[in-house]
Amino acid sequence: MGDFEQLVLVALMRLDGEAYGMQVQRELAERLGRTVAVGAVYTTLDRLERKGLVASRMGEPTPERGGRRRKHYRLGPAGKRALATSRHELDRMWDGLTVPGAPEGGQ
Amino acid sequence: VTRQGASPTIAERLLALLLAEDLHDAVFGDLAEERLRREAAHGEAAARRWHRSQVCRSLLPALFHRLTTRPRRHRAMHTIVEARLQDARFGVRSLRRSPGFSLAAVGVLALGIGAATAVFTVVEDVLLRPLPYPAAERIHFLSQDGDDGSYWLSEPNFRDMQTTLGSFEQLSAFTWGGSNLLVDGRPERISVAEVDGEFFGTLGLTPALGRTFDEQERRAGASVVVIGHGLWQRLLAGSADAVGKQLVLDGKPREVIGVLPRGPALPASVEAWIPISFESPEWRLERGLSWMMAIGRLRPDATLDAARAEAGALARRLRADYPEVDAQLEIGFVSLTEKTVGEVETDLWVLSGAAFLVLLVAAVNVGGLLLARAAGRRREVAVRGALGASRRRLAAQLVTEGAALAVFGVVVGFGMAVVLVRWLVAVAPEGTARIAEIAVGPTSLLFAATVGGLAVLLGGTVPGLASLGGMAQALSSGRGGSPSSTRLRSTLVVVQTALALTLLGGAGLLTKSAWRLQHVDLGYTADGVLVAGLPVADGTFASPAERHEYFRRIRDRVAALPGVTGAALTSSLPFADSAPVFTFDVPDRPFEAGKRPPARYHVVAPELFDVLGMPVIRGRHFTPEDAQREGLPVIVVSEALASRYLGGESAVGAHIRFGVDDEPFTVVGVVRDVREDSVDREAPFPQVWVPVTPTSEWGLSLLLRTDGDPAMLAETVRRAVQEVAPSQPVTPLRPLAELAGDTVARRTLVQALLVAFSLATLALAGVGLYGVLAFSVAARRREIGVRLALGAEPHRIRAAVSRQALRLAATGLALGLSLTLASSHLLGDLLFEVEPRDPGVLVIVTGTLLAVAALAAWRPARQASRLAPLEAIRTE
Repeated sequence: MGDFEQLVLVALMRLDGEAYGMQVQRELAERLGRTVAVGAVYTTLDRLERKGLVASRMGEPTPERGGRRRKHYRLGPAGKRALATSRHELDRMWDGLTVPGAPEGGQ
Repeated sequence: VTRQGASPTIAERLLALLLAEDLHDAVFGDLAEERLRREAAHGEAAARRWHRSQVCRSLLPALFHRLTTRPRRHRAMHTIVEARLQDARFGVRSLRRSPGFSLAAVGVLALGIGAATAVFTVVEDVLLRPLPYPAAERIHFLSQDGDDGSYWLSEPNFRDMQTTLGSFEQLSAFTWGGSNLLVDGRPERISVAEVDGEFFGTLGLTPALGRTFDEQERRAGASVVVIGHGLWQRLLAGSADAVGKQLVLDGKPREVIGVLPRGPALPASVEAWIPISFESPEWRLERGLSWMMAIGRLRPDATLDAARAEAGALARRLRADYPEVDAQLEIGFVSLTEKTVGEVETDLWVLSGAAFLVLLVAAVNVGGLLLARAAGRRREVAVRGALGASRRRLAAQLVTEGAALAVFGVVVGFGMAVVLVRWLVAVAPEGTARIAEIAVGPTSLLFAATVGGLAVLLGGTVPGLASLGGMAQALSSGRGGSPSSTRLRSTLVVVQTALALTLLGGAGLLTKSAWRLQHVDLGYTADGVLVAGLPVADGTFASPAERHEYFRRIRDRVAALPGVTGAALTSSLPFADSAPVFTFDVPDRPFEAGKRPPARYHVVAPELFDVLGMPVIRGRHFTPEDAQREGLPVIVVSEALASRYLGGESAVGAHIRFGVDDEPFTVVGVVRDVREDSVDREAPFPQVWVPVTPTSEWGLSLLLRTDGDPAMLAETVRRAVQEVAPSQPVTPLRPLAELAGDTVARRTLVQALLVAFSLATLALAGVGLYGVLAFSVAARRREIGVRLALGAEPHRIRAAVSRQALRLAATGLALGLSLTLASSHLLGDLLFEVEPRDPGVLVIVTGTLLAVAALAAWRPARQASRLAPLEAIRTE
C-alpha cells in the first residue's frame, strides 16, 4: 500500500468510514495543509477499490453538479484490517525511536 | 463536462479523454459543485483559478491511472482498443522500470515539443490565420510614395483616388492620435482614431453593440464615438446599456453609439473612433500636407493589377497637374495583412527555424537514448529471442515504449508550450502585431501530438527497428552494442552537434548585435533621465502666454523636487513623440526650386542640453536670455545639418529660414546628431533646436535629470504635476533609457529566445556525446583492461577516448559550420551592424562547442584510464 493510499484510507476513516472524493480532499487539506488534485484522490480511491479495500456506490444526480452523480466510497473490512496492520507494524518498527528534528512525540 | 453555457477548456477536454469513464461523474461533479461553493465564498476569479489548477493537476494522475490499470470487466470495449491499452500499459511499465532513462527521454522530448508548439501557436495566430475581417485579403493600404512608402496621404490626393480608382469598392481615410479621456473625473490618455463614414464598411466591421456612424453623420460633425471592446470592458464594465452613455474626450462630450467586437484594432492600439474632420484645421485641405492614411476594399471582380494600372494613370496626371507638391507622387498598395504583420514576419520565421532545430535535436537525442537502452538490453533481448520470442514481439516492445514516451512527452511538452506562450504574450513589446489574438488552442494540441509522434517515430523507433536486424549476432558480441548500432548512435551525435552549432551560431550573431545595440551612440546620455509627457488638448488655453505660464509652473514645481537635478521643457520627447519635419532654406545660398531640405524641428528650453548631456561641438548652447528675447531668433543645429548645408566649420553665424516669409534664424551652436526615433533604424537626419519663448504655441513636455533611479521618482513627479495642474495627465512617465530599449525590444526578445534555444540544444548535444563515449568505454572495458594489463600508459587510454570525442565533435562542427554559413543570412534585418558571417562570432561559437565536447569527454576518459585491469577483464 502506497503512502498516499494510506493517507486516503485514514481520511476515509476520519470521515466516519464513508465519503466522496471532495470530502477526502478537504480532510487531507485541513490536516496536512496541502491541496491535492481531486483527480489524484479519485484515481487512488479507484485503485483501492480494485484492491478490495474500499467499496463504492453512486448517489443521485444534483443540479449543482451539472446533473452528475456523486460517488461515495466506504471503508471495507479488508481496508480496516490493512490499516490496522500497517499502523501496528509501523508502531513496532518505531518503538523507542525518535526522528531527529521531528516534533515532540511525532512519528 | 463543465458548467452550463461555458464550453469546456482544452485542459478539461483532455482530462475527460484521459480519465476512466466511470470516474467522470465523480470528478467533474465534485469540481463543479466545489467551484460553485468557492464562487460564493471567495469570488468568481478565485473559484475559476482553483478549478483550472485542479483540472490541470489531475491530468497526470488520470493518465497514469489509465495506463497502469485495466479497464473494468463489466464495461464493453472494443477488443482492439483493449489490446492497444494493454500494449500501452506494457510500455509504461517498462518505462517505470528505468525511471532515469524515462525522465530524461520525456524531458528532452517535452523540451523540443514545447518549443516547437509554442512557436507554432504564435505563427499560426499571427501569420497564418487571416485577419478577422470578411475577405481580409481584399483590403489594402494606399500610399502616395510607392509600395515601400510611408502611407501618409494628403486630403486632395485621397479625394482624387476616391473618385478615380474604380477597382475599389470603397476607400476610407483616417488618422489617429492621443486624446484625454475623463475617467471618474481623472484624465487618462488613450489613442483615438478619426475616421470617415466609409471606414467600418471598408473593413467589413459590424459593431457588437449599437451602430457605427455614416458619411452623413460625419459631415454634420456629430458628437458621437464608437468604442473598442477593451475600453468598453474597462470603462463601462462591458454593460449591455453602454450605448447612449456619454464620454468626455478632450473636454468634449460624445455619445457612445456602438461597441466594436473583440479583435485587433485598426490603427493598432486605438480604443475609440470618432468622425474625422477634413476642413479644420484649414491646413488639412492642402495638397502638399500628408496627414492621413487610407484603406480600400477591392471589388470582388477586380484584380490588384487592374488597380495598379488605374493608379499609374492617376499618378501621372497628378504629377503633371501639381508639380510643386506631387512631383514624386507614385501610388502604391500594400495589403492590410502585410502592413499588420509584415514587421514581425522575419522574427517569427527565424524563431520557427530555431524551434524546429530544437525539436530535431530533441528527437535525435531521444533516438540516441532509445538506442543506448536497446543496446544495453541486447543480451537479454537476444536470449529472449533465442528462447522463442518473435521479432514481432520485440518490435512491438520498441513501438509501445516509443508511443508511451510520445504520450508523456506531448502532455508535458504541451504544458510547457502553454507556459511559454503565456510568457511570450506577457513580455512581448507593447503594440506587437496581433498579440492579443495569440492563445494556445486545439490546433496547438494537435500540432504537439503530431510532432511528438513523428519525433519519437523518426528519432527512435525507426532506427531501433532497423537495428533489430543485427539482433541474432548480439549473443556472441558480448554486452556491447553491435558496430552498426554504435555507428548509428555516433551519427546521431554528429547530427546533434551540427544542429546545435547552427543554432548557437545564430544566437551568437544576435547576441553580438544586441551588444552593438546597447552601445549605440545616441548623441546624449539617456541614463538617469525621466520623461514626463504633458499632453493637453487643443483649445485648452486662451492665449500663448497662458499656455507658457502653465508649463512654466509645472516645470518649476517638478524642478524643485528632491532628486531632480535638472528639468527642461521640450516640444517632443525622444522615442515617444516624433518631432515635426519642416523644410528650410539658407538665404545666403538658396536651393533650387522644390529642393528645400527637411529638418526635424524641436522647441526647447535652454536647460535641455544640460539635462540630456548634449555636448556642444561649435558655438554655444542657448542662454536663458535667448528664451526671453523676441525678434532675434537663434537656433542650434545638428552636425549632419551643419556639414551638409552650412559648410561645417563656418556653420556658426550662418542663417537658415523655415517659412519663406519668416525672419531667418542665426545659428549659435552645433551639437552632435541625436537618435530620437529608434535606436536601430536611424540615419543621421538634419535636426534643429529653437528656444521656447513666452509666445510659443507649442505643446510641451518635460525631461528630468535625476540623481538616482529615474523610475523611483515617477510617482512623486506625477503627484507634483497634479498639485499644480489637477486635470493634467502625465504620460508617458518613464525612464528615457527604457523608452530607447523599447524601440529594440522585439530584437531583444528574439535574441533571448534564440540564446535559450541554443543553450538547450548545446546541453543536449553535450549529453548525447557523453552518452556515446561513456557507453563505448563501458563496452570496451575488457579491451581497455587488457591493454592496461599489458602496460599501456593511462594517459594514452585517456587520449584515445578524447580522440574519439574530438572526431565526433569535429565532424559535427564542420557540418554545423557549413549549415551556419549557408543559413545565417536568413537572420536578415535582425542583425544590427553585424555581418551574417562574422568571423569573431563563429570562432567563439566553435570554441564553446569544443569546450562542451571536452567537458563531455572528461569523465569517460578519466574512467577509462583508471580501470583496474584485472577487474575489468573479469567482469565478462
